[in-house]
Amino acid sequence: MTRTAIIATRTLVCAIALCLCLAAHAQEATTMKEVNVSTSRRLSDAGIEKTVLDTAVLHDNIAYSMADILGKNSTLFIKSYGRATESTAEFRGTSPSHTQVMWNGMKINSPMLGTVDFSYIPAYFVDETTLLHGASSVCTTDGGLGGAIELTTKPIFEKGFGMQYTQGVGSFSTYDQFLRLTYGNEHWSSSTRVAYSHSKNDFKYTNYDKKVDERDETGKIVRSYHPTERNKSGYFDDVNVMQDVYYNDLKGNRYGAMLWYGYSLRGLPFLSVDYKTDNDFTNEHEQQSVRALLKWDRTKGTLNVGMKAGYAYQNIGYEYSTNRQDFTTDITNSRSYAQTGFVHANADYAPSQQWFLSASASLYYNHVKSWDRSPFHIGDNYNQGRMEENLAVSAKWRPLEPLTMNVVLRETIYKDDIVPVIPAFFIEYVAFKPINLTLKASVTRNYRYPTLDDLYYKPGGNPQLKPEYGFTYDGGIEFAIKRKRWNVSANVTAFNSHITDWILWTPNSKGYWQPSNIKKVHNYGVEAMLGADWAMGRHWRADVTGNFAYTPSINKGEKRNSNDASYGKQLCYVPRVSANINAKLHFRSWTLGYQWVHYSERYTTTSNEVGYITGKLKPYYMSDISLEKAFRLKKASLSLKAQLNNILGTEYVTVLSRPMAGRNFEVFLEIKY
Amino acid sequence: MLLAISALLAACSDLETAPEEVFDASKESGVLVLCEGNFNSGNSTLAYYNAVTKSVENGVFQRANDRRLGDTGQSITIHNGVAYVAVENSGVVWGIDVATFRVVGQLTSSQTEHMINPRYVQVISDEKAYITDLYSPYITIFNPKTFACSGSIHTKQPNVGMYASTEQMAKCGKYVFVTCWSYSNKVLVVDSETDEMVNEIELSSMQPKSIKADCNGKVWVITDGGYDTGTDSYGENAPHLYRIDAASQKVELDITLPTDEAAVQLAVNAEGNMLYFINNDIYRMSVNDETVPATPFIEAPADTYGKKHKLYGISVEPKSGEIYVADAVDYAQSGVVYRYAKDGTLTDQFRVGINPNGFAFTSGKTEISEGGDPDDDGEDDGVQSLVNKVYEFMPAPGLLVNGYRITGDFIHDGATMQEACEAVLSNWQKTWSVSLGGQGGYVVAGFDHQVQNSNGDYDIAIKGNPYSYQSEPGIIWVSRDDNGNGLPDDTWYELAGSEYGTENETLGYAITYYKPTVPGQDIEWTDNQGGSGIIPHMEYWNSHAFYWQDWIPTETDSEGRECHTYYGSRLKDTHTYDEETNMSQMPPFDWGYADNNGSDYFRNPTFNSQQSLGYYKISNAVTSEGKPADLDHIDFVKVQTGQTGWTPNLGEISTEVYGIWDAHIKNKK
Repeated sequence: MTRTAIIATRTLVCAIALCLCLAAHAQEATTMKEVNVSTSRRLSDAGIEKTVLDTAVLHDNIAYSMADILGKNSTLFIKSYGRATESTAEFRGTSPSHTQVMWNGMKINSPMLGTVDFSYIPAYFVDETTLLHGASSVCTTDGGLGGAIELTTKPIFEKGFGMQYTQGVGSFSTYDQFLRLTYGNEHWSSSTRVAYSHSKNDFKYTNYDKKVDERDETGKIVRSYHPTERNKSGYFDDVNVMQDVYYNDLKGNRYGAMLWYGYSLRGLPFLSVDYKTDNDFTNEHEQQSVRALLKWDRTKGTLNVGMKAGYAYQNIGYEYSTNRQDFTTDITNSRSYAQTGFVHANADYAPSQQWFLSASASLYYNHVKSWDRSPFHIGDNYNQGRMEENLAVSAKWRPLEPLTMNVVLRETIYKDDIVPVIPAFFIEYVAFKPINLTLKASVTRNYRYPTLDDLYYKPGGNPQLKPEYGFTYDGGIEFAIKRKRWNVSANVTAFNSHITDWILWTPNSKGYWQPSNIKKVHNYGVEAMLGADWAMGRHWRADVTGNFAYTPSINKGEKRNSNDASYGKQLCYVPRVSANINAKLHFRSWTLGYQWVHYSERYTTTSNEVGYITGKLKPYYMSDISLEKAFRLKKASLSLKAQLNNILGTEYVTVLSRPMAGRNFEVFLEIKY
Repeated sequence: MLLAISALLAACSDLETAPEEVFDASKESGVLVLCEGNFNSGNSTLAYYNAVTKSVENGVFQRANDRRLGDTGQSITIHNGVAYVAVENSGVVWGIDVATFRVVGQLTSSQTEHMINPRYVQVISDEKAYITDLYSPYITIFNPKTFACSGSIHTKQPNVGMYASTEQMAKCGKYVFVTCWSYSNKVLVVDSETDEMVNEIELSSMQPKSIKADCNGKVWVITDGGYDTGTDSYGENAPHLYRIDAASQKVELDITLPTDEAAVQLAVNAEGNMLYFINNDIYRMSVNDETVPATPFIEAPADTYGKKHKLYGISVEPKSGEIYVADAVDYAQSGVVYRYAKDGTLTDQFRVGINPNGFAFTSGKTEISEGGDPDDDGEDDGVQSLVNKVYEFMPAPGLLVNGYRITGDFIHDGATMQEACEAVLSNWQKTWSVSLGGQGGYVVAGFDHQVQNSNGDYDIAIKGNPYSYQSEPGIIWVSRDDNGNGLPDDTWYELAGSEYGTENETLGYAITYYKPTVPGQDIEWTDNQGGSGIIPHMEYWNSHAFYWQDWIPTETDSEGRECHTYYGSRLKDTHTYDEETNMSQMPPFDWGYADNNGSDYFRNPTFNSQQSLGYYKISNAVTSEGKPADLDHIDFVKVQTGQTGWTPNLGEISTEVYGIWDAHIKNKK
């Protein structure tokens, strides 16, 4: 892109932002009768494939991170090897960096890696989660070649002071505690949340990757067995504090301020094939993060405008060292500091029942400083900043009552580089109103720009990388039947997606890794969701949700050489099939919950080898069960909950050489005032 | 029975124990290929390539030992028939028998004071070897025979702004030359008699990696030159080749190599007069040359569209001078190994595990085991080695005998004796298992020819499924068709085994089982020695209501209970059971019993232990008085479960039989 084009786009971004502010200001002066925008609500969602997880789902268990919630309640594949270990989310068989994550409208993907580790986000700190599948992600951000996830905190509705305290005690010396203090009146809402989780996480497992030979004096083996070992160095301490305050002047202005601080110290579990003694070593991750956001929005008549400003800071340290009797050695360590500044303005305008127009402009400034020490590199990795300017406009049009169309155009500049315009088109047709039978389709051409690590990391970073480029289209059908005693809703979507110039890091002959644009991936498949609830009797109620995804993700990239057997094969660690069921049975104040998660087998090599034992991971089936009893006291309410995980005691791994815990439990006591 | 049950146990879980396969790589020369796997994945593997048949067996370490090789297998070296494999990120050095791939010993990081991530092993003598380390400032010393750590050598290298790590070693006289690869330009000299570092040699380029000694008392070193990524560099990023005189410990020759792309690695032939190295392509030069040849000896294979394969991991076979190199393709799939003849012609290529990085050569001179191949049909001169008729199948009660869902359901409820016998023979023709149930249960079968007594050699082969610690011995009987009616109604002679005539064997033993009357009932027994016990009903393994076969005749005892009595000999019950681990141990007797892992139980070299055979001699047959039976031949064989014990996890001890063969015919195959 030429310099002129960059300047032109920048000017446009600033102009639009300014206009939005002026428009807001102008609106301030007028006193139009408030029009309920919700009539256009459906219009704003036209054609979009989304899954909403509400507070009831998110605030089910304080021990859950967002990784657990997404794994149990969506079609996303969560790659994780246990609690408090790196957990990333993949939409439709893409990579974790193809999932864009927004926290109250601010992108929180690591500017270094492009990913989000969901194990660091306690589910109790999020009040609503929206998953935007495939093309639908373009409605909120660029770069979501798989999709986008919106994490939202919301003002409380209750008036007066409120208090909630939950204490959990579980297997492997696990303690979870959560405190929330709230206050609300007609103008103000304040919520303070504190969560602290601590665990030794030293579960016992039979180590099938080792075998002990007991020998007699002559050296003859008298007995061989797989030893029982403990999960070494799996401990964690996670603290999170969040304060949010909202003010509503009841004249259409809403103000919000949020501050979220997190600190974690986590041991990195030893591999099952490690013969070292954990006492001799320190192998841990330390992470500190701050996220702050101010927002304002205003609804007046047919116009809705908003502004946001945010800041995020992340300080991540890794230390691997040994401390023996007579010597101490730093084996490898690293530290990185990432900062993000963010401003955003948006406006939605619904001039009539047929039209809904919106525009937004946002600006991110990311800065990363990092250094490491390893046998392959000692010193600074990089110290770089990058401005990202993003502009989006969309128009939704409903020419006839059942038919809606939506066009989104998005433009982003990364530093001095303009990514081609990202267009997305959505269409929706309500075929049968009584059950809201709706047909949807969408198409987009999306880009994901390389991360700072991809470009600048020393050694290896490749400044010549091109953005990844994805072409996606999907079509689906959904319905929702609402009756007095029961409700059923379902949604099936088929999608097809080609990602070109997929960025992949591979080792070179010097021993360090380098990224390049080498892969072409064809993702296609089906996602289906089903939800039902049924009030069976006066005291009986049941609800169930199920998700199913079939996602072949086939490598169609250029062969590395004639020996390359990865062409046409499923990507590593991406299951073809994932499914889950979440069922609850309520009787008076009792609730029985059952959760089931399944992933089909996953390959660990690009050529999908099955000839050796480590070539694939067996299909994964996990069942958890919970029982909850609520007690009503005079001024407070109390609830007691028992959760039993892995009820079948399955011995399994989800990542090679990472054993998982067997049957385990946690008991929770919750007091609400 | 135990085997079948282990399989089921495993089916309940993702992870499982697997049978330890039996290999015999002693016959022909071969190559062990170490495949590094991916860092932090624990998927390092060992492949075996038979250089004669050109066949490959992948993952042989796991298959032979039922355990993983580990994370990041770094190097392999062979000494005295043992391959020493340093698995860096697992903190272990394995000793592996090169003929069987079985672990003979290991040294782990926890057993030493200073070892962290072992990289390379240099054997100094039969009692001493050195291990270099990626992170430790020490070289660890251990005894390659006993795997005991006997000390360490401090390298005195600074640990700030660099790594005090050590890499490859080459021994020249009493001195061991050690490269310091990461962030260093040094070669250390260690006196292997005093185990002390005596000198360090600084090089003109960074990161010496590979080192080899030649026949002239010189040591050759290749560096990678550091790195330069455009934005960041260490060293000049050009690899160098050095010749160091071992006596003076001085650099005599320094050659700058033309490229920085290379996965630099050195190899030397057995004579020590020819040097090979990879610098994108493969180069070869005489150790007497002072310059590197302008053109490569072997060009890296290129594709039709000109893409060259990135090669690394070069080694030269000591006898033939053949060259082996690897291509890791994309570092996340099975790698390819190229085999070149001495003159550089490509003679074979094969796939191994992920990231093959090292080769070690086995010469194939040691002979170890023998054994037949149960897969062959055994046809020879119109007679077959397998028995051709089962006359009587009289299993005692047991959890694999009735309706068992894996191996017992080949006989339907209400079957007749004839149907049961036919089912047994059909199973054996497929080398499938038949359980004889508890003590006394037996099967009688005959051959289509006379099996000759070779007077000293093994005559009969019987397959069971014993592991080292799970034997379920059965007593073997033989009979000669003296009356010539073709039926096994003649005198039976016991084949005396190692316990015959000792206190471990009770002759003239009779055991009576009482037919269960209530579904799910344990089956009670009494014997003629005043003993009693049960065959437990174990719902978990076999939900059939009655562990009693329909065709077994019953009599009625004085109390009116239906029962059946089996006659024979009993072996002492030696099993143990550990409640804590829920594991049972059934040690084998020395020799002479079916389904017993004794000295006469031979492992099949090409197949796993499930397909191994026990061998037995007709000359051991004794009369009821204990005198030698002196049979010239036999026509019938009976195998009978010899112990009464049971364990809470796996049920009763019951002999399994997968077939009975004439060993003379079978061994010809």
